[in-house]
Amino acid sequence: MKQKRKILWVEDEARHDMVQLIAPVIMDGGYDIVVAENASDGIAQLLQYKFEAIIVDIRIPPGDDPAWIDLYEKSGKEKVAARLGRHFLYTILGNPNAKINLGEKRPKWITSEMIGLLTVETDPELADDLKALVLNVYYQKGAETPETILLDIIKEINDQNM
Amino acid sequence: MNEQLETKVFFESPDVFRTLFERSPNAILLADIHNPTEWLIVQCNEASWRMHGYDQKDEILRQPLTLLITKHQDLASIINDAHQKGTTTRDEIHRKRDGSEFQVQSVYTLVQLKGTEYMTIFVQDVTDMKRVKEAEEKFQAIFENSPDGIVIIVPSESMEETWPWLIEDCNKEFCEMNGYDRKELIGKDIRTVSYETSFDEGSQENTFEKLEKWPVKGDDVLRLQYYQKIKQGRIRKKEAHRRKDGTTFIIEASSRLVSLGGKEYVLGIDRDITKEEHLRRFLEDLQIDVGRTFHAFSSTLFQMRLALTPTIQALGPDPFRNGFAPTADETWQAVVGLWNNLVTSLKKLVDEMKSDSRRDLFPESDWSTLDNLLSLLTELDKIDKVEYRIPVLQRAARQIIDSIDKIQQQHAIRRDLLREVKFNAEQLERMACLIILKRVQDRIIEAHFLVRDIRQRVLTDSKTEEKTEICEFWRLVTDAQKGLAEYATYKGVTFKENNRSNGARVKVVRTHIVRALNNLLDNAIKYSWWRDANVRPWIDINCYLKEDRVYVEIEDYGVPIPQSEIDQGLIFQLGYRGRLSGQRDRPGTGIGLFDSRAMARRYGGDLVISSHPATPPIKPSDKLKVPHLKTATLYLPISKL
Repeated sequence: MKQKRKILWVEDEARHDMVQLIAPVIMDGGYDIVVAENASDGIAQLLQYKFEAIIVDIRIPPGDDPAWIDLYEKSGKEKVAARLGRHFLYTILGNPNAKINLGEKRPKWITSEMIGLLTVETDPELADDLKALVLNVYYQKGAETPETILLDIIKEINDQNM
Repeated sequence: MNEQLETKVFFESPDVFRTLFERSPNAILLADIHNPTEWLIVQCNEASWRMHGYDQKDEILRQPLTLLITKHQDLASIINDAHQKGTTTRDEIHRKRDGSEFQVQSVYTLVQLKGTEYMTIFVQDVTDMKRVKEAEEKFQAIFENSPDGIVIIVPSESMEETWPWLIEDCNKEFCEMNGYDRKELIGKDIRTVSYETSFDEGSQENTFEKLEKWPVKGDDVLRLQYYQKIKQGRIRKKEAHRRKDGTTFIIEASSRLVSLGGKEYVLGIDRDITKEEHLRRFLEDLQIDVGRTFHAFSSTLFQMRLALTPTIQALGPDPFRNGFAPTADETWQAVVGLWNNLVTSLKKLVDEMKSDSRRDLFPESDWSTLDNLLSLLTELDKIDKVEYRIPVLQRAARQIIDSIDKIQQQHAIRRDLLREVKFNAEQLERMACLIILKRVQDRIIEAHFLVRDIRQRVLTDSKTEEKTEICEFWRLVTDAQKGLAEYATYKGVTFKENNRSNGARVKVVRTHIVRALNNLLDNAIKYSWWRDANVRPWIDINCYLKEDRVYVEIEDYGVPIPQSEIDQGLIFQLGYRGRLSGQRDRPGTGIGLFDSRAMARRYGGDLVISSHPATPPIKPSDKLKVPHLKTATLYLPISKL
């Protein structure tokens, strides 16, 4: 039996408004998707397992890690304003702009090529971050977003790494 | 010795001097300086002892002069100076009998009396003069360094001749603001830079339109009215100004009449508010756009709701209670039987197709899809999150229906079995769609009330002056209830009130506390569960007094909040959503508790949340699986007024 590729989706609405996006991924049969609903859970997952693709939302809550709670509060105490997803990306990629540094614990297998963004933020709002983090896979959530967007992103990341 | 000297001075002084000496408002002292480091006061006038707070002359006579001077002067150098110049003047600090200090100016003069040298000291209290001087210096510093433009204008002397009003002086900021050098403005008519607008305080006249009309003529009447108005007191107004280069900008001007050197001037303080005005105008335009958008959005939500109701009805029997989207567990209970039926019938079909001797007649693609879907459906319960299973079931059922339609058209095999599989897939698809639509319907209702609330804040509350007033607390609670009555009715939730607040009053901005209570009630409605199959959910509202506070407890029966979330204060973080809040499929923003606590604290109160199991769990590990009684307690200090 073919080994399923492990995917991490960091999205707090995964079980709510975004739940429809998971079905195509599960039905594809080739992926084992894990959802983290906040930054703390996302980091915990990355420290425990190796993933082949990571899809991140920008507006995510901090979870229960005091460091993320602290950063969240300093960044405006609000999901929209704090945009913790950006900080999450800087942290997991070990970028010098990271406010939370994982040090030696940072999984070295994480690269920009395996990361995709799915968020409501517009391109101009994220232009600097996309450039700084060398991220190419970016999609915006909107009324016109297809139900298969999550699967499409995963496939695009796969293609990028082939 | 000293008594003799005192007598001599008096007898030898002319009458005129004596009169002057006695009536002078300034202190005049005579000191024996034969010991240059310790002078003795040998004579003084009434002003001397009064100025220093003594009751009679004798209290300072024959005392060292240092009794009256705080800072011990270098007396020898005073004698030297007096010898060289005849007199010497010093700024000094003197001390009163009670220890308080005051500023003086002392003039020291040497005199010879009967061949002996004495020192006369004329002391003037300069405290007031000093204050005036300091005030003048401060004014000058403010005038020169103020971030605001300051201009001093000579109003027209004659009421008939309304113009010109000449600039007497202006500060650096005024010059920079208007793009001129000071010398270019002094002596010029104020109309060089200023364009009259309405001078009514709080005028809503559009300054931007005035700017576009610049320059206009015939504002003499306005000037006259302005002069009459400024005589009554300070005027604040928005005014258009024009720089030397012709560009225009908007200022907020505060003007009043002042008297300088006995002459009347208009003192104007100008602040450039062009940016604020642009922002204000932008916000006003934005408010109109937001209003329009909200209106369109509300209409769309309403249409969607109207369309969804018959669609949900058309999907057949609804096993869920009206008003609430089903919980994850409820959805699974609703589909599990249908899922089993489909798996059983599909397995039968696939097995038959695999074993059919005519298998070669069927292209691989026609049945491999069904085979794959069977594998997926068989392992569906391995997907840990129940929420994810429903969309998978819906899509799988649809694919099975499409595949069977295709097979039915092309192959004549077991039509009864195909029909059975298709029927089961249709039933499952119907239920999955019903669940999805129920969630969407719930989301639309939530969005409808959210939009209505924000619309109210943006379009109405933002224009209402926030005024603190004394309100009856229970009235605020009932107002909050009224605001949510429609939502509660939709959800089928009722309120059970118990008011024991005895008309207690609180001092607050009414809308703030109504909003705080609104958030708590909204949460309680949103997360309520049915306590009994036959009784609609309800929320207890208890209002009572304790010491000098009034409390309201809002208690619902429903979603647990883990104690750790309460202890860590996570539930009060803006944007935080309870770990288990999603179990009820309630969309939430995570704003409510944060906002309510902030409002309560603003007025000296607080908000406390508690959550405990309503029924004992069978196993301790199931603690968060049983319904909880959640109590939000908001309190405020009682107003004594």
